[in-house]
Amino acid sequence: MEDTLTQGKFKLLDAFKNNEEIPIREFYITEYPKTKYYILKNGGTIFNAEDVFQEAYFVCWKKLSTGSFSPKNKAEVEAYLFTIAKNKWIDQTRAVAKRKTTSIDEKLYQLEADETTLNYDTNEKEQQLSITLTAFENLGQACKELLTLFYFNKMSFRTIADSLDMEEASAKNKKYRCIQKLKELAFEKSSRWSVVGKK
Amino acid sequence: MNSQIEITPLEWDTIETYLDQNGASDNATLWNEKLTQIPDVEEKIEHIKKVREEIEDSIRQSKIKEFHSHQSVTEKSSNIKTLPTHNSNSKIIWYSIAAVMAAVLGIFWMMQSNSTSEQIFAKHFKPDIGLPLKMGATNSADFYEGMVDYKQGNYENAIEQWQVLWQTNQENDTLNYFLGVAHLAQGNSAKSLEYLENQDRFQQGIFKEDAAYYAALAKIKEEKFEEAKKLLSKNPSDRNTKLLQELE
Repeated sequence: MEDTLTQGKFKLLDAFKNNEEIPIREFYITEYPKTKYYILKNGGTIFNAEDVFQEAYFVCWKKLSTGSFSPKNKAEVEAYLFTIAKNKWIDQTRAVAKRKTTSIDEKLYQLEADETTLNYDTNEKEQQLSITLTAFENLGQACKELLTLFYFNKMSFRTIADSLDMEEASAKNKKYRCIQKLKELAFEKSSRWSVVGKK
Repeated sequence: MNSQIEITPLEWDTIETYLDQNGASDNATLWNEKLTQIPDVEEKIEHIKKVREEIEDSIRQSKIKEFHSHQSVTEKSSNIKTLPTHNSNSKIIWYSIAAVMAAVLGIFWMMQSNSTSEQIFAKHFKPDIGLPLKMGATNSADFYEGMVDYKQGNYENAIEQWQVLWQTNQENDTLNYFLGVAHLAQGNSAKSLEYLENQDRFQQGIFKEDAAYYAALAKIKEEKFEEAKKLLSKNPSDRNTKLLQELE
């Protein structure tokens, strides 16, 4: 009965809104097998299942934490997550099939060109996110920890400073420097594409 | 993430405090006044909002990857737990298990060094995320066709397309880098090293450290640990140093 409504909310929704790691992780572990079996049954590999589920989980988490999806109970979250994963897999398989067709039929290739360019644009945001994620992962451990405490755990600077045994002003300065470092790493990574054919 | 916009630490702090108050604080007017002192404040607020969103998203994605490693551990341990229930109270079955275990241990002993290299490789190898998909000059368009395949994990198709371009651009660092990574993603370390081993190609470009990282992983896969160490220590980066420490 963990999903009993309490003042219009339920525990899992609160967990997603407040980035409570343990319940969010447990929900991940419980829900992954369903998507995995669906993808394996429908022509995918274990790697496809992992990628698709992780993308779907990210979308679901973001929608829940920003309030743009307001489910009434846990069952609705489960259904929503599985639908996103399923649709992502269908889109991927269709895209592969479409690409195979276009490479055979030259005329059709011309007609599809604009659409392909549009797809590139819609992927731009995802691309930017991968770049920032890579930059974040390459950031030093101390910076990762500080940014996580502030932006993910939503801790105040007072509490962060206490837990890291430093002055509040030093914590603020350190956070600023970490963000600048992150921006530099992301910028380096994103400028890569322009070097193609430079030699 | 645009790194060009200049925002001082004080401006950053003022804007973030304002954003966190969400206009609900009694001090909102005071903060509004402080904001008006900042040049190009609207642009800076938008920039900071975007950076915060990207950081939060990155942390979420990073956490999701961690969850998956927990998931794998849970899955493996639950598989192990199910074994005894299928094999209870039968001497013959226990003898069979003992025999199989002996054989497995024998094989394990023979393959131990190989499995160590495979384990390190599996732990650290993750294909480069690739380049943003943008259309440009004709050559670039061909290149990005391959990049679409690469990003979808169709490494064979990507290699096929890039190989054509490589015939006339054999020293291009981008092509060599992605051909090397794509071959490695297919598990072909020898082929991968054909593109990644010559580090001179990468010295002037932005792939320098990453090319050394993947070349080192290919060496590890081939159990050439000393050569991998050399590559990593010559091309330090956070990731390369971490891998080097693991080898030492």
